Amino acid sequence: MSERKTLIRKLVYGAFMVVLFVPLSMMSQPATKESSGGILARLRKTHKLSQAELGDIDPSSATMKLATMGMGGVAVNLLWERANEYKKKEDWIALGATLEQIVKLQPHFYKVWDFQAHNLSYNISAEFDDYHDRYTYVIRGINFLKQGFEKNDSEPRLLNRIGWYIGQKIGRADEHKQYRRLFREDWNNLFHVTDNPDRTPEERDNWLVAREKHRLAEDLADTLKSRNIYLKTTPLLFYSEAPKSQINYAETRQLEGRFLQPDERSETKRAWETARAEWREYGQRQLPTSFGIEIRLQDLENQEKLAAELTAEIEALLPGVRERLRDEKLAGFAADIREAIRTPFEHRTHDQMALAAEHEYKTAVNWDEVADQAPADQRADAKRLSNALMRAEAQVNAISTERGKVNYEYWRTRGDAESEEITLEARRLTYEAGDQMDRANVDKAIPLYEEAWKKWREVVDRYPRMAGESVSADELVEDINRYKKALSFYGQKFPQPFILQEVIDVAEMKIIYTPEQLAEMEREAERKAEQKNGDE
Amino acid sequence: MILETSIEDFLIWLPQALAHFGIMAAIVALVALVVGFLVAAVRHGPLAAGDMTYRVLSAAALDLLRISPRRIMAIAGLAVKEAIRRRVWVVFVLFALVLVFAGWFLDPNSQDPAELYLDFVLWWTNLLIIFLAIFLSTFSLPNEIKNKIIYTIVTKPVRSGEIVLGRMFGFGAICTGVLLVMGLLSYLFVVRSLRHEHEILAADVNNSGAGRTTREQDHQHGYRLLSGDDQDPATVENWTDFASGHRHQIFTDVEDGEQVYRVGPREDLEIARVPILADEENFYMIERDGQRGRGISVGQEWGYRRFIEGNTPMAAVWTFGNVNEQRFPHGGILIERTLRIFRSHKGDIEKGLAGNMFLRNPSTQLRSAPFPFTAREFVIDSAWIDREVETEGKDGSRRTVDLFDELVSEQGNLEVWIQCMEPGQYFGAARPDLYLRSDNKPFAWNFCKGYAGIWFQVVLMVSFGVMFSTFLSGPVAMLTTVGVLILGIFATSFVNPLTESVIQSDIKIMAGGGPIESLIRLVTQQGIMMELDDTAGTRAAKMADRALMYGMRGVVSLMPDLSRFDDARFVSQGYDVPDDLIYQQATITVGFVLGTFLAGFLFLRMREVAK
Repeated sequence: MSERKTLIRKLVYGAFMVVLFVPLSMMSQPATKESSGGILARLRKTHKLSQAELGDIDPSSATMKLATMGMGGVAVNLLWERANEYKKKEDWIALGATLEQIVKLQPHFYKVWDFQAHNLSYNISAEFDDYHDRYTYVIRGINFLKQGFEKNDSEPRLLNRIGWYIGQKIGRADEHKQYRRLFREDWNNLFHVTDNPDRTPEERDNWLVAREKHRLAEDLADTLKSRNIYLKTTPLLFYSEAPKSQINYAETRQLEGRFLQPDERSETKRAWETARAEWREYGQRQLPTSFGIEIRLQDLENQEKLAAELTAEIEALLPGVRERLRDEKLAGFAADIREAIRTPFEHRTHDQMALAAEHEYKTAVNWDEVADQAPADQRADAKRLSNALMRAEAQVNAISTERGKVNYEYWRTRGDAESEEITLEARRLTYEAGDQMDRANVDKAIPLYEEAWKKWREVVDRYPRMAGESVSADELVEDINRYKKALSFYGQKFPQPFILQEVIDVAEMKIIYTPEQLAEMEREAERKAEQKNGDE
Repeated sequence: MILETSIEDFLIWLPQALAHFGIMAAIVALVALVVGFLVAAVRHGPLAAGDMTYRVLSAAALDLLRISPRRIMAIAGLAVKEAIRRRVWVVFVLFALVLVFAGWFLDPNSQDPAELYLDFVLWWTNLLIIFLAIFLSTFSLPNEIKNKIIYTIVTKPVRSGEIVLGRMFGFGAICTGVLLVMGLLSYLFVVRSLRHEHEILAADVNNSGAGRTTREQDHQHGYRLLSGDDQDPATVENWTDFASGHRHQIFTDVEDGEQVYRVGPREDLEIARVPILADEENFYMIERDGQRGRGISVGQEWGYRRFIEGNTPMAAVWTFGNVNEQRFPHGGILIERTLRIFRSHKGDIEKGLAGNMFLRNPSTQLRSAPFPFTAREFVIDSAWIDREVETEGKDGSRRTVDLFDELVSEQGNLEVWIQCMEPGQYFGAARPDLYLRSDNKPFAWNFCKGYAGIWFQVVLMVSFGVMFSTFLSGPVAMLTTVGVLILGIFATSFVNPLTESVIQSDIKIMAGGGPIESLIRLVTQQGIMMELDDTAGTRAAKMADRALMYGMRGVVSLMPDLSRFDDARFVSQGYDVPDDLIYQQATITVGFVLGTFLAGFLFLRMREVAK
């Protein structure tokens, strides 16, 4: 009886297995030329999850995953623990081996590559005293990211990180002089030999290689976008990296004095011209924003103009309506709140500031409300205008915010100014004066500085932002302070008022220009320049 | 060399270990006796229980005395045959597969491929052989009992003790055989993978004798050739710089009137360093005020090393005992050091940090003139000290003395001082970071010693496996033995700190509490560093955790601490496995084999089948 029961039980199990097998086999049917396969194959294709879509197929990775028999998560956890322990105990060899194992188990997890590459290039490299060892680990981090990209060739973020490390880590670390030299020499054949042995010595500049990688990342992102795969990082910053690398390249040439000889000078000028063009090209790029609209950074002035025109049109169509609506809204508030809101910003007391901050937005009248007040025969026109105006204002608002994040105007002005011969000459004189100071030839430094300040005056008059923003002002003030020291060496007084007084005032924060003031100063300088050109 | 716990001299360690073993054995025996008696008393009454206990013990003692080596060998032979029948060769196939595909997992560009390769083969050997040992030892006896094959044995004049011991010996022997073959394969794999030869072309050597070797296995070495005092290059040892974790000796010769150079094999595949370390109490630091202290913590998470500040009286001091010319017969001593560097400011990036080393007689306080050096991290920096040493008096006067006669005290002690010379910068050191080099031992022998650690673990797992299999079914015995393995591996690093932290309620040892407290934290999503609300519930949970941890502590104290058997780290770092450590491991193994044998014998005797 019991044997019979066992038999029946086995038969029932068997039957269940057969029944389950049918839907399972239908679901997991692979795709062929004729059919798109079962649901699993289709889902894999839709979400681009199959190995071949993600990057190189690595047999060792597949073996490792199989060998853990479904316990991959546990194994990875243990390996991360071990990696942290090895890092703590400075066992770099074991750490390297553990990282290799982790990435074999999680080859398609972007964060693993990003985190551990940062660990190698930034944290572990700093543990070594000899800069050669540090450099070795910086490159190890970069090569780790490259390895990650081989396994995830649809991940532009990894290319972007490679560019960032090559640019920022090599070019901005305390040891940047040594790192840049080792990178150019390809010390110990760590990088260029495997990356691209055909680069010329100049092309081996870390900023240029960084730019190359950022451009590759951009190309990949654009290709993926055409396949409706979007960037998983902020496009505004992502696309700024390549032109910024070019800017850094040009700037570093200046800082290293590679613009004193005529051929080097023309090369540096060319580098700035390229940087200028690339930054403007970046300004033309259509970028999505967190405001839900797409913008072009270069469009701010146009959009402001458009908004002003539309405002004038709507005001002409419905004169005084906006003010009336605002007054009506204001009337609903208590007297002290009304008083606070009506008082101009700069004259508000502390309490009024608080009250206005709390209530002012409630009195704002949007253009749609204004259009609603239009007589029936004009309402369609009014609505069309208000919609266009609100769109333009949204653009202005978004572009201004996004520009601030990448300091767009400053770098645009820098590109314009540094491409000019006069700025290069001002920089040459400042650099040579500094060089004479380093050699303790103070007497030779003073006339060079004085000549430089005259050139800088011309630069600042043409490009007020070069003095108006603290980034540049701080730089110049360092040189001005050296000049002060040189004068005091001979008992001479620092001239008052100084020819570049506003540079000092901005650096010392005695003057803080608002973005509007800076824009107005630029327009004024532009007008003067045009007038001068016309006169000539 | 990293050595987080010191290795005691075997003869000092042995009495303490024997005492500990005796106490533990007595406690276990007493507990077993009391429990056995109580069980019997409940079933048969106290008088009968006493009688039964006496009879069991006396019969067992008699049984043990009559154990026959011939029968043990016969059972062992059967165990070997059984293992072969159960396709033990599969392990070789697995191991061969691991070696064949090792290239997939090993990075030849690693900072030190030798350490990586050695770690790899030793780890895989350890893993496979331990699981083979557990698998063989735990399933054999339960299967025979289940299949009733055991009756063909017990009906013969074979005693329980012989069955247990025979199995332990048999499975131990087969695992030893497998381990020997795996060891040989590993040795060949490592040596063949890492052996390489560089060349130095006479044309590449510049005027100051410096240059670089040819590139092999993705690396090349720099060198600076020294010339002999008496124009005979053979009197000077020339070495390449360290690269890829090793260096080579350079031999110079004259052929047809031309200088030729030959680069020897990599040093670490030829020899194992034998370091003579200072004792624990003989390593200390001098503080800023000149007093003896512990040095500075620079805030590193791993407190292994302490630091001394540069350009201050701070110093790291190692005192070595038993320093005499018999021990160092080569006309001087070789000191090796690996210091860590901590910079509190950038300083000169291009330059390493300067330091001074000097020797001092701890009795007369006569000290040598400083031996200046530039500190290098993560490589072994060596300094040869000639027997003729220049000393420096307090007034700055200098004279040359004999190292062993005047700088070593009458008790045979010698102090080595290290100071950092750069203001605001620091040197970090631990006791094993500086040592005197004794004569080298051959690498092959050291490799064998590395495998000894694995062999002891195998023997332990076989003993536990056989013991558990006398009263548990196969799968349960296997899981229990794996439990012993896991507890053994994690005893020092995890279980002991956990039990102590819960028992002493000290989160500095380990945060998070015991299992129940951890469960509460998991469910209520509270971090491990947060103090739980003081409620009756949490108090009860903590109390329950404490009770559990007392139990855990008891269990762990009966298990071997397998982290003590890790000889592989010495081999992979190129150091001789200390003999004292091997003796300690052998003693621990013998102790546990004895204990598990006795337990297994008693369990089997008590089973119906073996009576």
